[in-house]
Amino acid sequence: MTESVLIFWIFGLAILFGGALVAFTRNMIYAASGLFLSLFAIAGIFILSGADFLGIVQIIVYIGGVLILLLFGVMLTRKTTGDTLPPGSFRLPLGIGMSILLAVCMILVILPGNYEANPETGIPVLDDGTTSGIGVQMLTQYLLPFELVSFLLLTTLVGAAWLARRKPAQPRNLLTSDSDSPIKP
Amino acid sequence: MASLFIQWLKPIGSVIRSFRLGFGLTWSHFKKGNKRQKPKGIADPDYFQQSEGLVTIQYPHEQIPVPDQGRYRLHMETEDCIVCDQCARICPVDCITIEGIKTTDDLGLTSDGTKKKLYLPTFDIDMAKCCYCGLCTTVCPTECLTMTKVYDFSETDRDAFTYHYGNLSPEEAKVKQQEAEALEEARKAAKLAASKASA
Amino acid sequence: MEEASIPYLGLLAGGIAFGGIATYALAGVYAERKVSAFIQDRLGPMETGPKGLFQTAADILKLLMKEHIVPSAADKILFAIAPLLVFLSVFAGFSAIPFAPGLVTAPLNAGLLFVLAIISIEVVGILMAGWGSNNKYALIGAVRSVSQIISYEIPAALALLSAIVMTGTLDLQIIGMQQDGEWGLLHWNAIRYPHLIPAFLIYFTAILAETNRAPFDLPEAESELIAGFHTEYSGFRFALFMLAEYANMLLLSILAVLVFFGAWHSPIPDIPGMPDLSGHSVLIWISGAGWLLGKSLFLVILMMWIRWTLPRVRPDQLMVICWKYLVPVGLGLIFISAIWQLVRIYT
Repeated sequence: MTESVLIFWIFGLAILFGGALVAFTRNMIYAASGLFLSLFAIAGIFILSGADFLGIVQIIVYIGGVLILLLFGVMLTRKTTGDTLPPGSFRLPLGIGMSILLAVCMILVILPGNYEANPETGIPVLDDGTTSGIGVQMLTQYLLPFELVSFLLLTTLVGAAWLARRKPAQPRNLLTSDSDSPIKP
Repeated sequence: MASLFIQWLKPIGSVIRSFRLGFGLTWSHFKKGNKRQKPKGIADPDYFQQSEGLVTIQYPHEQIPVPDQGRYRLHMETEDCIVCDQCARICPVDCITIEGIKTTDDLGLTSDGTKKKLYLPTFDIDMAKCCYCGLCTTVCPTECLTMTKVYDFSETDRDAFTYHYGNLSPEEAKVKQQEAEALEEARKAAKLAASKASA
Repeated sequence: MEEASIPYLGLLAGGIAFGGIATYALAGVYAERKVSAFIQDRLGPMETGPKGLFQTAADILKLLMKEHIVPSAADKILFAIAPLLVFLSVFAGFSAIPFAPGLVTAPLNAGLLFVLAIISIEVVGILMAGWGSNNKYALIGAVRSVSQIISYEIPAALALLSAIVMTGTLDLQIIGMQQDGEWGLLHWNAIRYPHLIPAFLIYFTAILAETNRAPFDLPEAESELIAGFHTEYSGFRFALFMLAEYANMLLLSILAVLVFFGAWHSPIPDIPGMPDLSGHSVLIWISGAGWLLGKSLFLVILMMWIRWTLPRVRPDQLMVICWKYLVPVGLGLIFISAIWQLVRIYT
């Protein structure tokens, strides 16, 4: 019991530390690393609460997908070191407002929920957090959203493939274009 | 559409073919890993045969026999040297240093019957410089300088590559040098006297 | 078992696993050198110990004693974290692996997905290493490595998915237990469902790319990138990268054996008169782990053979293999699996 609580605290502090790092550092890569820590610790809390499928999907989607894309973008567009964000607060009031709004929304969602504490660990546990439960729910109660999302993903996939395809070669005029002919006069 | 599908299928055949070839080749070598090549010399009739199995020869533990006429490290037979200095002069890299001291002592004959007329205080061969051309051995009139089949004579100190073949110790050399100088003085004096007498 | 003792048992299991992985990596590097040597008609390490057996141990001792060289222009923090992250991600993957019925540190009910997910964290470490080194070769290597790993995660996942459709569970323990039976070999997934053999081939190709091994070793292409993302690493940190590579090979091979090749079951059919192990859980554990690791190590050796046979592919070939061949075939295999299950349900 005490170990579970200890691990919970470790993950919780890691989330906060990572979030603070994202918010306060001026180095883009440190911000991404903070995000990594935060997302990973959230996955840890999910798994600790018995929702292991959710935790694993959190890792696959957010760390394996989103974060990697983000790191990729940062690393390919920024100078290697010494390149930091310019100081100054961007739209500070708007940011504070958004944060408060988000916090209120989350509290409104979290508070009315009925959470049965796991008798073993004393940590709130979601029922049906496991793989088969989610699968059954997705293919029965939430079938339409599920199919809509899959359609959206298919569209993006086809679109990405279309954007990345090789452009059809221009018909070559042998008389005028000698730039790509192998033998030059 | 169908032709596109055939185009898609086409590389698979060549991939399978090249896999079979490649893995067949590496496997045929791998399974001979228990066979070893024996160190065999140039005199061996199968010396130029493609060997089966592992080709590595673990050098310090195993060595390929070198033929007796191998021409590597120089060897000097001090007893046979007549101090003619020809080897030192022909050496393209100047690795041989020779000093001779004239004497009237009877030094005996070399093994091929040539009379020796000089002491040999210094006959140094710097093997670190030697380029193994063998010119010194061809000009040597008494065949006292030869090449041997010893090829592994690495040293940790560069000075150790200088081989000393002189037959006098430094003290003896000093004595002999004085004797030779005295002899020379006497010869000069005699010559002077002779020229005076003839005048 | 007392409840409070579980975390300490976990720590103990972690210690044993680390020792095992380190020993395996030493043996693996030695085997790799010997395999490559025999393929190339050489002897390989021969001097340290009988037949050079202690060569890799001596090497790791050397690496441990070497100085940690940190390039002055590197990002010190990321440079130090990266090798740990790469190794820990692979190491954590072992926690969900059942080595025998009941012999598993973290019995997750989505264990297979967990292993795939935790390995994708390795990518973050590789990017950190490449970027933190502040070296152009390291950065190019990291970018290549990440694009390659992300691409090949898809065929690997598709191939595993076609097996999961047949097993109906993500729990590695249950997948393993399903393949039990008196006919031995015939109960293995790849034999029971023959379309899983191409699925295994896809998975095996993909894990070669995910572990950055030849013929997909573009991220570490010596001739053009020195050593890829770990160009600037030395000493113990370099050793960690090597350890992670070999541990990853073993982890993904174990996953292949669990899903396709009968997990911890022996291929020999039950012969009357064989000693009955039921009731002796320790003996079952030992024989199960032995079969599982034996089959996995066979796959590891196969990976070494491939490395020393096939030349490196070009980047465009790399992408063509993944997107034009492995992914469509993988999708087709999932389709076959789905039809199979439908037929099974309606008959």
